[in-house]
Amino acid sequence: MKRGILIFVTILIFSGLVYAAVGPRSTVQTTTIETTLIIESPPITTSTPTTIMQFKCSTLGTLQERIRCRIGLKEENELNYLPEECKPLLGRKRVDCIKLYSATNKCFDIKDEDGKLNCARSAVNITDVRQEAANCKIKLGNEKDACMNNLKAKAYGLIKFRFYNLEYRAQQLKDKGVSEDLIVKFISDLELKKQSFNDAKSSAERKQMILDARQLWKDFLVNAGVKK
Amino acid sequence: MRKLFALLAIILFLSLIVGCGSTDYKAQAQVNDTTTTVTQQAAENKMNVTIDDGLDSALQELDIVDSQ
Repeated sequence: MKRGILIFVTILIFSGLVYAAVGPRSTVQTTTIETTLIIESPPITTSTPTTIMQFKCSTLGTLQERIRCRIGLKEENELNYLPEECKPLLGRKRVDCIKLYSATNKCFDIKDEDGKLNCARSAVNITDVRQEAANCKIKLGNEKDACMNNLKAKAYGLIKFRFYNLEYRAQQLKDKGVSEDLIVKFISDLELKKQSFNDAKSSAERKQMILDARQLWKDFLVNAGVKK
Repeated sequence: MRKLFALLAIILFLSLIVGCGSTDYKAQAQVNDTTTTVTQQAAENKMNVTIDDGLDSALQELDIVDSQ
Protein backbone atom coordinates (compact mmCIF):
# COMPACT_ATOMS: atom_id res chain seq x y z
CA MET A 1 0.00 0.00 0.00
CA LYS A 2 2.75 2.37 1.10
CA ARG A 3 4.74 1.48 -1.99
CA GLY A 4 1.73 2.33 -4.20
CA ILE A 5 1.33 5.74 -2.55
CA LEU A 6 5.03 6.39 -3.01
CA ILE A 7 4.87 5.59 -6.74
CA PHE A 8 1.76 7.78 -7.16
CA VAL A 9 3.38 10.74 -5.42
CA THR A 10 6.57 10.29 -7.43
CA ILE A 11 4.57 10.39 -10.68
CA LEU A 12 2.82 13.54 -9.48
CA ILE A 13 6.15 15.21 -8.74
CA PHE A 14 7.56 14.40 -12.15
CA SER A 15 4.38 15.60 -13.82
CA GLY A 16 4.67 18.90 -11.95
CA LEU A 17 8.30 19.28 -12.94
CA VAL A 18 7.61 18.52 -16.61
CA TYR A 19 4.67 20.96 -16.65
CA ALA A 20 6.83 23.62 -15.04
CA ALA A 21 9.54 23.15 -17.64
CA VAL A 22 7.35 22.98 -20.76
CA GLY A 23 4.17 24.85 -19.84
CA PRO A 24 1.07 25.22 -22.00
CA ARG A 25 1.19 25.52 -25.83
CA SER A 26 1.18 29.04 -27.16
CA THR A 27 -2.15 29.23 -29.04
CA VAL A 28 -2.47 33.02 -28.89
CA GLN A 29 0.95 33.57 -30.41
CA THR A 30 0.18 31.16 -33.27
CA THR A 31 -2.99 33.07 -34.11
CA THR A 32 -1.07 36.35 -34.16
CA ILE A 33 1.57 35.04 -36.54
CA GLU A 34 -1.08 33.71 -38.92
CA THR A 35 -2.88 37.06 -38.92
CA THR A 36 0.32 38.92 -39.71
CA LEU A 37 1.11 36.61 -42.61
CA ILE A 38 -2.33 37.14 -44.12
CA ILE A 39 -1.96 40.91 -43.90
CA GLU A 40 1.53 40.92 -45.38
CA SER A 41 0.74 38.54 -48.22
CA PRO A 42 -0.05 40.42 -51.45
CA PRO A 43 -3.38 39.57 -53.04
CA ILE A 44 -3.08 37.05 -55.86
CA THR A 45 -5.36 37.67 -58.81
CA THR A 46 -6.52 34.66 -60.73
CA SER A 47 -7.51 36.96 -63.59
CA THR A 48 -3.92 37.99 -64.37
CA PRO A 49 -3.45 37.02 -68.01
CA THR A 50 -0.37 35.68 -69.70
CA THR A 51 2.19 38.27 -70.72
CA ILE A 52 1.69 39.88 -74.11
CA MET A 53 4.33 42.31 -75.31
CA GLN A 54 5.84 42.09 -71.79
CA PHE A 55 2.79 43.76 -70.25
CA LYS A 56 0.45 42.07 -67.84
CA CYS A 57 -3.28 42.78 -67.61
CA SER A 58 -3.38 44.25 -71.13
CA THR A 59 -5.53 41.56 -72.73
CA LEU A 60 -8.54 41.96 -70.46
CA GLY A 61 -11.57 43.38 -72.19
CA THR A 62 -12.68 46.32 -70.11
CA LEU A 63 -10.88 49.19 -68.45
CA GLN A 64 -12.19 48.21 -65.02
CA GLU A 65 -11.02 44.61 -65.48
CA ARG A 66 -7.54 45.80 -66.43
CA ILE A 67 -7.40 48.18 -63.47
CA ARG A 68 -8.55 45.45 -61.08
CA CYS A 69 -5.84 43.18 -62.45
CA ARG A 70 -3.23 45.93 -62.24
CA ILE A 71 -3.85 46.81 -58.62
CA GLY A 72 -3.53 43.13 -57.78
CA LEU A 73 -0.04 42.89 -59.25
CA LYS A 74 2.68 42.10 -56.74
CA GLU A 75 4.95 44.82 -58.01
CA GLU A 76 3.26 47.41 -60.14
CA ASN A 77 5.72 48.99 -62.52
CA GLU A 78 6.11 49.92 -66.14
CA LEU A 79 7.18 46.40 -67.10
CA ASN A 80 4.16 44.81 -65.50
CA TYR A 81 1.38 46.61 -67.28
CA LEU A 82 0.76 49.01 -70.11
CA PRO A 83 -0.45 52.30 -68.58
CA GLU A 84 -4.01 52.93 -69.70
CA GLU A 85 -3.13 56.43 -70.82
CA CYS A 86 -0.54 55.01 -73.22
CA LYS A 87 -2.82 52.31 -74.60
CA PRO A 88 -4.58 54.41 -77.29
CA LEU A 89 -1.28 56.00 -78.37
CA LEU A 90 0.86 54.58 -81.15
CA GLY A 91 4.51 54.54 -82.12
CA ARG A 92 6.75 57.23 -80.70
CA LYS A 93 3.96 58.76 -78.62
CA ARG A 94 3.37 55.48 -76.85
CA VAL A 95 7.09 55.02 -76.19
CA ASP A 96 7.33 58.53 -74.73
CA CYS A 97 4.23 57.91 -72.64
CA ILE A 98 5.68 54.71 -71.17
CA LYS A 99 9.01 56.45 -70.60
CA LEU A 100 7.28 59.06 -68.47
CA TYR A 101 5.75 56.38 -66.26
CA SER A 102 9.06 54.58 -66.10
CA ALA A 103 10.96 57.73 -65.11
CA THR A 104 8.54 58.69 -62.34
CA ASN A 105 7.88 55.21 -61.00
CA LYS A 106 10.64 55.47 -58.40
CA CYS A 107 8.98 58.58 -56.93
CA PHE A 108 6.23 56.48 -55.39
CA ASP A 109 8.76 55.10 -52.94
CA ILE A 110 8.85 58.55 -51.34
CA LYS A 111 6.30 58.91 -48.58
CA ASP A 112 5.71 62.65 -48.31
CA GLU A 113 3.76 64.37 -51.05
CA ASP A 114 6.16 67.29 -51.59
CA GLY A 115 9.09 64.92 -51.92
CA LYS A 116 7.16 62.79 -54.38
CA LEU A 117 6.34 65.78 -56.60
CA ASN A 118 9.91 67.09 -56.43
CA CYS A 119 11.12 63.67 -57.51
CA ALA A 120 8.73 63.76 -60.48
CA ARG A 121 9.91 67.28 -61.38
CA SER A 122 13.45 66.00 -61.41
CA ALA A 123 12.45 62.94 -63.46
CA VAL A 124 10.82 65.01 -66.21
CA ASN A 125 13.64 67.57 -65.96
CA ILE A 126 11.56 70.54 -64.91
CA THR A 127 12.37 72.79 -61.98
CA ASP A 128 10.34 76.02 -62.07
CA VAL A 129 7.67 76.19 -64.78
CA ARG A 130 7.33 79.97 -64.54
CA GLN A 131 11.08 80.49 -64.87
CA GLU A 132 11.40 78.05 -67.74
CA ALA A 133 8.50 79.73 -69.54
CA ALA A 134 10.29 83.06 -69.15
CA ASN A 135 13.45 81.52 -70.56
CA CYS A 136 11.53 80.26 -73.59
CA LYS A 137 9.93 83.62 -74.12
CA ILE A 138 13.22 85.39 -74.76
CA LYS A 139 14.12 82.95 -77.55
CA LEU A 140 13.25 83.68 -81.16
CA GLY A 141 11.33 81.95 -83.97
CA ASN A 142 11.41 78.17 -84.19
CA GLU A 143 13.66 77.90 -81.17
CA LYS A 144 11.03 79.65 -79.07
CA ASP A 145 8.26 77.38 -80.34
CA ALA A 146 10.33 74.26 -79.74
CA CYS A 147 11.22 75.46 -76.24
CA MET A 148 7.57 76.13 -75.38
CA ASN A 149 6.33 72.87 -76.86
CA ASN A 150 8.93 70.99 -74.88
CA LEU A 151 7.96 72.82 -71.68
CA LYS A 152 4.27 72.14 -72.31
CA ALA A 153 4.91 68.43 -72.78
CA LYS A 154 6.86 68.32 -69.53
CA ALA A 155 4.27 70.36 -67.62
CA TYR A 156 1.41 68.22 -68.91
CA GLY A 157 3.36 65.14 -67.89
CA LEU A 158 3.73 66.56 -64.40
CA ILE A 159 0.00 67.30 -64.23
CA LYS A 160 -0.81 63.73 -65.19
CA PHE A 161 1.71 62.50 -62.63
CA ARG A 162 -0.48 64.22 -60.03
CA PHE A 163 -3.49 62.32 -61.37
CA TYR A 164 -1.52 59.11 -61.18
CA ASN A 165 -0.47 59.94 -57.64
CA LEU A 166 -4.13 60.21 -56.64
CA GLU A 167 -4.67 56.75 -58.12
CA TYR A 168 -1.70 55.47 -56.13
CA ARG A 169 -3.02 57.03 -52.93
CA ALA A 170 -6.46 55.52 -53.53
CA GLN A 171 -4.84 52.14 -54.07
CA GLN A 172 -3.02 52.43 -50.74
CA LEU A 173 -6.39 52.68 -49.01
CA LYS A 174 -7.16 49.10 -50.00
CA ASP A 175 -5.04 47.98 -47.05
CA LYS A 176 -7.17 50.14 -44.79
CA GLY A 177 -10.34 48.36 -45.75
CA VAL A 178 -11.65 50.59 -48.53
CA SER A 179 -13.68 48.58 -51.04
CA GLU A 180 -11.75 47.38 -54.08
CA ASP A 181 -14.74 48.13 -56.29
CA LEU A 182 -14.67 51.75 -55.17
CA ILE A 183 -10.93 52.02 -55.83
CA VAL A 184 -11.22 50.37 -59.26
CA LYS A 185 -14.01 52.76 -60.23
CA PHE A 186 -12.06 55.81 -59.07
CA ILE A 187 -8.89 54.78 -60.91
CA SER A 188 -10.85 53.94 -64.06
CA ASP A 189 -12.60 57.32 -64.02
CA LEU A 190 -9.30 59.10 -63.49
CA GLU A 191 -7.66 57.18 -66.33
CA LEU A 192 -10.41 58.39 -68.64
CA LYS A 193 -9.77 61.95 -67.48
CA LYS A 194 -6.09 61.53 -68.35
CA GLN A 195 -7.00 60.42 -71.84
CA SER A 196 -9.43 63.31 -72.17
CA PHE A 197 -6.67 65.64 -70.98
CA ASN A 198 -4.46 64.36 -73.81
CA ASP A 199 -7.27 64.79 -76.35
CA ALA A 200 -8.24 68.29 -75.14
CA LYS A 201 -8.02 70.96 -77.82
CA SER A 202 -7.93 74.02 -75.60
CA SER A 203 -6.56 75.19 -72.29
CA ALA A 204 -10.12 75.49 -70.95
CA GLU A 205 -10.75 71.81 -71.72
CA ARG A 206 -7.50 70.79 -70.01
CA LYS A 207 -8.40 72.91 -66.99
CA GLN A 208 -11.81 71.25 -66.85
CA MET A 209 -10.13 67.82 -66.73
CA ILE A 210 -8.10 68.90 -63.70
CA LEU A 211 -11.24 70.21 -62.00
CA ASP A 212 -13.04 66.96 -62.84
CA ALA A 213 -10.17 64.99 -61.32
CA ARG A 214 -10.46 67.11 -58.18
CA GLN A 215 -14.17 66.34 -57.93
CA LEU A 216 -13.55 62.62 -58.47
CA TRP A 217 -11.03 62.62 -55.60
CA LYS A 218 -13.48 64.45 -53.31
CA ASP A 219 -16.27 62.00 -54.12
CA PHE A 220 -13.93 59.05 -53.65
CA LEU A 221 -12.86 60.21 -50.20
CA VAL A 222 -16.49 60.70 -49.17
CA ASN A 223 -17.55 57.28 -50.47
CA ALA A 224 -14.51 55.67 -48.85
CA GLY A 225 -15.53 57.18 -45.51
CA VAL A 226 -12.30 59.17 -45.22
CA LYS A 227 -14.00 62.53 -45.52
CA LYS A 228 -17.54 63.64 -44.62
CA MET B 1 9.02 6.58 6.22
CA ARG B 2 7.23 9.69 7.55
CA LYS B 3 10.27 11.78 6.83
CA LEU B 4 10.28 10.49 3.29
CA PHE B 5 6.60 11.40 2.81
CA ALA B 6 7.20 14.84 4.29
CA LEU B 7 10.09 15.39 1.90
CA LEU B 8 8.03 14.25 -1.07
CA ALA B 9 5.15 16.51 -0.01
CA ILE B 10 7.50 19.50 0.12
CA ILE B 11 8.95 18.69 -3.32
CA LEU B 12 5.42 18.32 -4.73
CA PHE B 13 4.37 21.66 -3.26
CA LEU B 14 7.43 23.43 -4.61
CA SER B 15 7.08 21.94 -8.08
CA LEU B 16 3.44 23.02 -8.23
CA ILE B 17 4.40 26.58 -7.28
CA VAL B 18 7.13 26.64 -9.94
CA GLY B 19 4.69 25.20 -12.49
CA CYS B 20 1.99 27.78 -11.82
CA GLY B 21 4.54 30.59 -11.84
CA SER B 22 5.87 29.43 -15.20
CA THR B 23 2.34 29.22 -16.62
CA ASP B 24 1.54 32.75 -15.46
CA TYR B 25 4.75 34.07 -16.94
CA LYS B 26 4.10 32.42 -20.30
CA ALA B 27 0.49 33.61 -20.36
CA GLN B 28 1.67 37.15 -19.63
CA ALA B 29 4.32 36.87 -22.36
CA GLN B 30 1.62 35.84 -24.83
CA VAL B 31 -0.57 38.77 -23.82
CA ASN B 32 2.41 41.10 -24.24
CA ASP B 33 3.22 39.63 -27.66
CA THR B 34 -0.38 40.02 -28.79
CA THR B 35 -0.55 43.57 -27.45
CA THR B 36 2.70 44.47 -29.21
CA THR B 37 1.49 43.01 -32.50
CA VAL B 38 -1.88 44.76 -32.30
CA THR B 39 -0.22 48.06 -31.37
CA GLN B 40 2.24 47.71 -34.24
CA GLN B 41 -0.54 46.99 -36.73
CA ALA B 42 -2.55 49.93 -35.41
CA ALA B 43 0.48 52.18 -35.88
CA GLU B 44 0.98 50.93 -39.43
CA ASN B 45 -2.69 51.38 -40.22
CA LYS B 46 -2.58 54.88 -38.82
CA MET B 47 -0.82 56.07 -41.99
CA ASN B 48 -2.25 59.48 -42.57
CA VAL B 49 -4.61 59.94 -45.47
CA THR B 50 -3.67 63.18 -47.15
CA ILE B 51 -6.88 64.86 -48.19
CA ASP B 52 -5.24 67.55 -50.33
CA ASP B 53 -5.29 66.56 -54.00
CA GLY B 54 -2.22 68.64 -54.89
CA LEU B 55 -3.97 69.95 -57.98
CA ASP B 56 -3.72 73.67 -57.15
CA SER B 57 -0.16 73.78 -58.46
CA ALA B 58 -1.30 71.77 -61.50
CA LEU B 59 -3.85 74.49 -62.33
CA GLN B 60 -1.22 77.20 -61.87
CA GLU B 61 1.31 75.45 -64.08
CA LEU B 62 -1.31 74.83 -66.74
CA ASP B 63 -2.16 78.54 -66.78
CA ILE B 64 1.53 79.41 -67.18
CA VAL B 65 2.27 77.10 -70.09
CA ASP B 66 -1.06 77.54 -71.90
CA SER B 67 -0.96 81.33 -71.72
CA GLN B 68 2.30 81.54 -73.68
